[in-house]
Amino acid sequence: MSELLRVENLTKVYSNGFVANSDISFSVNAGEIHALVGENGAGKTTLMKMLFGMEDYQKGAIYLNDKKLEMKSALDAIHNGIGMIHQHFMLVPSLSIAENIVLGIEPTKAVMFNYKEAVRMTSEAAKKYGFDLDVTQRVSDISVGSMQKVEILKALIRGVKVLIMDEPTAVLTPQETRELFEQLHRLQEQGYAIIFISHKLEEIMELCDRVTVLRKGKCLGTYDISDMTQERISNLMIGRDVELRFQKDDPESGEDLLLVSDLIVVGDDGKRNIDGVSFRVRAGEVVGIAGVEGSGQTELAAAITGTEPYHSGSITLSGEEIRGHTVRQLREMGMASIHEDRMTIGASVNQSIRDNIIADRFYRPEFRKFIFTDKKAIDEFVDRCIEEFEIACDDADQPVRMLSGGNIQKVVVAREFTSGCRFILASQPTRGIDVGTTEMIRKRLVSMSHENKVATLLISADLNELLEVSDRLLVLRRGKIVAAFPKASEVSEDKLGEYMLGIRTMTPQEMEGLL
Amino acid sequence: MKNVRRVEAVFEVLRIVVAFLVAYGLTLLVLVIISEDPAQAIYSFTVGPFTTPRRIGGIIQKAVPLVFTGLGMCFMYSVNRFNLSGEGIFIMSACITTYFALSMQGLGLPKWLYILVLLAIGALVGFVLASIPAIINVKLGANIIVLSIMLNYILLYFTQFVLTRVVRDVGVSYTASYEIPVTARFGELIPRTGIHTGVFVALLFCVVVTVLFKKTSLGFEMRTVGSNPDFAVQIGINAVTTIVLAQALGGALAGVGGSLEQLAMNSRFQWTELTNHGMNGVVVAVLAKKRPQYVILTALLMAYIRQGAQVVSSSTDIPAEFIVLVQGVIILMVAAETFLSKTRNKIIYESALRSTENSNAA
Repeated sequence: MSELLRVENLTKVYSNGFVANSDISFSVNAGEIHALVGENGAGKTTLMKMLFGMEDYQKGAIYLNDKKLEMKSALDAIHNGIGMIHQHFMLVPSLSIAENIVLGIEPTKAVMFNYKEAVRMTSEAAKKYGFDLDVTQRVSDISVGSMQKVEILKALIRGVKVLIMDEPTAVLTPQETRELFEQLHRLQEQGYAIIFISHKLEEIMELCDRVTVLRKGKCLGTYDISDMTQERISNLMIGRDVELRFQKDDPESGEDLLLVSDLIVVGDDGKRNIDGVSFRVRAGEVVGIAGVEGSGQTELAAAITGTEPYHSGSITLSGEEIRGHTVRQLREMGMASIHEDRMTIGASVNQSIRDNIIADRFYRPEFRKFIFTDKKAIDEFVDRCIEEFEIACDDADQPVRMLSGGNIQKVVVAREFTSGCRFILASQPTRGIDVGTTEMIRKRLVSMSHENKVATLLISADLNELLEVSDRLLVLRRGKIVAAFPKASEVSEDKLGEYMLGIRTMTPQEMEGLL
Repeated sequence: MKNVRRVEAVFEVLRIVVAFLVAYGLTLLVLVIISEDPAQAIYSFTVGPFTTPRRIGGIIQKAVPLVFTGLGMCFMYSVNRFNLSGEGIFIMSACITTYFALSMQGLGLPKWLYILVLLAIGALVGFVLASIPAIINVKLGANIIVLSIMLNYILLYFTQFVLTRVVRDVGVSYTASYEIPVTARFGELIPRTGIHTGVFVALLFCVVVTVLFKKTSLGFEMRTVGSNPDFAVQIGINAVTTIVLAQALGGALAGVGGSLEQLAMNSRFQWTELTNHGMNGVVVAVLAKKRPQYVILTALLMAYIRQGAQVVSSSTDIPAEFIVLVQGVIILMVAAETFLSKTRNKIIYESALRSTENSNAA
């Protein structure tokens, strides 16, 4: 196989002084699916952005077919034959698939947009690459899996030879993932090079030919998959052994702490984002919520934490209705929450670690002296947190934005886990962070529930995490609960996927007593 | 990483210092170009303010109102709202203070209480008025800059109504209020310098506001809301209340400033146009990096420039208005976030590279 893309000594330093990549070199062959792995903060995203012309670099070069590339923007990258499928799709929901694909390269008749030609072009391309799509459908009506196909087609029709895919399976169900893999293999046979970025090692073992491992901004080397095992890859990524699965006992659940009944949340567009949901979370147990992204998880979390209103039904915490309480009152009543969006809402990245950790309790008597804040008490507390949660930083004054993703999440959990909560809502608590921190957070969630009798509601897109951490499991689809499992450990990923996708639905009778 | 923080901090200060120096240099250049006698003009502008005790006193005198409006703008900035109502509040509170000073004449209050009550009235006026655009802004999403500038004109014309219809002294030939009784006025602190006892009030407020920013819950809430309002809401801080309260307090500061200026500097209320104290407060706060502890220094700096301009206009052929140039250039350069950022990034890049090489060697 011939070499298609080569990267030599690429070095990138961000303006905050963070060395994201140093001296990265690797190459990708035509007709190869090449995995790029590393913990978050290892520099994968930065490397991708440089390959796709979105970031500049201080040193090194990128070669395509032995030609040195000078890219100033993503447009340059596409012209050169490098395409990228982002984790979050860049599509216009109100337009049809065909229109989305030709956006920017529209076929014209005289000066008018030639819709017929667009449909012909795109359906032909879809057929050529074996994508099963009705190109006249509107993007707002199609599934996430189909949207991804549209994104891939968008790149292919522009003549891309190298396809970078950023965690493409994160949003897919197991069934959709399988379909994607088949399509990728077909592209591989046609001579395309695919750079596949993923956290899921089993997928890499199944799909890829070679793997390049990044750790702390450095390239550890490229290996043939046939010589590797999952354990060896994760060893290389982390530099130590990690317990990927852990044992836990059955919970001894106590009284109902969170009770949601007939909850309806209507969005700004009049859509029922949460449509008649009822369930409970008892002290001492972890209840997991699975579901394809956008099934109402965000709205449910916002309603429970009291940051957005709900329209009918009720949510009670220890018997008290959420509505009518301020967020501070709810937190005083024992609520803690890890927000899914840690960079914009979960943490205040321009403030110091200290400010972030005491943000929910600065007003409490133990941190005050007369009417003033007690700096000494605060410093002692924050330093203890930094030590206990092993936050890698210079000192408590360091702005959070200078930390890595995993350490930012440690700051968040240091605050939420030490608040003395009785109920904790954990939304995507380990999304995009390193394996070490993931392990710590998962263990703490379980031990807080099982030992300290905290009621935990876990919302996650990571099925592994749900199956491992949860005691009970619910599936949310289009704002409704469509399945409930009393024992998460006895559920398979495939079965979960079927309920998430809507292939199967439980009847209310089946779920009775399990909510 | 410590390195990076140091570089960032140094450049933050450097940016302001360079902005000021460039502005100052430009002003000198303009002086040279437009003056008939450049040497005299430059001497008057730079050294002139220090040549007599009265001129030195003038610096301090001019700094006092800037301290108040500058502190006020620190509040506005702390919650990221560019509320410019300080300009209108300054003249409004001077006017209302005059009205109450005149109507309380007969009560026979002791001097300290008389003044205290009047300052409190000024604070109240500012508190209420600044919260009007603040509330409309958070509740209805209207642009705070437009709201507050419009408010300034409403307030200006309201004071003119009060001046001509309510407090006007028809016994004098120009448009002015009746004379405010001496018991309600600040006295001279050092004879023949124009420095009045109001400077103590200004100093006191510098300390109080600095402590409020750094050591109280409200200070923490303002900082958090200003830095990330979504985070603040999620963590249980009432963002709306904090945003409005901070601006109201900022307005109160401007209000006290207006009152005090009236009671210290003028025996009658006779302003017929906006005084620019509020707008100068923006420059003072920006130069102070929006931190109250530096406001006293930057207020003195701006006062020195204004005093220089006054000396220039009295001793040469150039009007004092030319210093508006200084303010304009400073705001422009400090507001331009990317100014000097290339140099900063280069230094950060080099130091980061060096430290990785060091760690590799070790």
